[in-house]
Amino acid sequence: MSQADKQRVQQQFGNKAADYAESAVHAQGSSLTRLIELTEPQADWVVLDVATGAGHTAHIFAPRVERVIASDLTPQMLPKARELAQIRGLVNLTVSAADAESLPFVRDTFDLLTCRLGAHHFPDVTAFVHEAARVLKQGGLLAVTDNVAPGSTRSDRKARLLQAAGRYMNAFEKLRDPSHQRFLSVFEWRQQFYSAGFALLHEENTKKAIDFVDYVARSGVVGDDVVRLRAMLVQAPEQVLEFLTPVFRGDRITFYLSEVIFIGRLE
Amino acid sequence: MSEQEQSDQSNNALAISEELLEILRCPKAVQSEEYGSDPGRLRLVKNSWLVSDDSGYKYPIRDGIPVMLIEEGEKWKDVPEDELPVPPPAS
Repeated sequence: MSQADKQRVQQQFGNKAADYAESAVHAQGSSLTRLIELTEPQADWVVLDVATGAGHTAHIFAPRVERVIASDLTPQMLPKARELAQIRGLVNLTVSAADAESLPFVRDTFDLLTCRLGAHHFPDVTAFVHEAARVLKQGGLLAVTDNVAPGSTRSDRKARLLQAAGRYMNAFEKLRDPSHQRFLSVFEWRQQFYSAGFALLHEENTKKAIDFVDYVARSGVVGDDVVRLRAMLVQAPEQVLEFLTPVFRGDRITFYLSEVIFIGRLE
Repeated sequence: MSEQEQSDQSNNALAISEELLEILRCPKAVQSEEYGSDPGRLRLVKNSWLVSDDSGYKYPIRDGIPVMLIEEGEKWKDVPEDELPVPPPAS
């Protein structure tokens, strides 16, 4: 990750630790519960949560396993994650600042690595997935959830329109959140898992209703950029509208993000 | 273990747990094949720093949180161990 990319992420999150601790999307997303159901954590597992933010994923795993390490690129996020763990009596949770693309751990260490709603901030997802493979034990699980963009592996006209829709959606997100890098398509995610030596065990897609005003306010967007973002939704190409399925009611816009859970096992 | 390290570690509880120290590595050196089968091992220095003898990088432990970022370790590379500030300054 370049220094400029890292600084954008650290600036975006550094003074928002409390906001993310209270964010309904991050704290209560159904994918938290599903991650537990799908990975079936065991009492002797050592777990690494990458891009932990306020620690919601780390907190839900800690009571079920031997030990959890919660890591984040932004050191200022970690006291909040630790404080919430202490309030909940999670004595087996420790925190460390770490770059997802250069993990500071010995190989063959973890039984499970989780990364929930963080990978779209990584400039080099390939490096992250390969680092996950390095620090996981053989047979260990990689559980990633993230919002995805439209895409296609083909090269015909329809595929090109879907790929353009993916770029449009990422441009929208980059304007809302300057630390955003990319939402990958499900096809790209599958390829990432396979190329790093994972067998994909599970994939499921959940649609999340997003209120436009809440969504832009959460990342601190104000003024003309709110107008631009609204215009981007209203004037979006057909393939973007089919993907986000926005509903316009007066000034209010609700649209739907696709959050996908991928569970892979290191072969 | 040197007298300095013994002294450092006997003063207080360890700044990070032994379990975490056991698995943490210098994120720079751990990628290298130059340093044998387990590159990037770290020593706890002054109960406030994690030092990699392989890379020479030194990582601060701020408020009990190891800051294991390559650019942070690189920043302190040329500072002699006995001159590392305690507690490590804010970034």
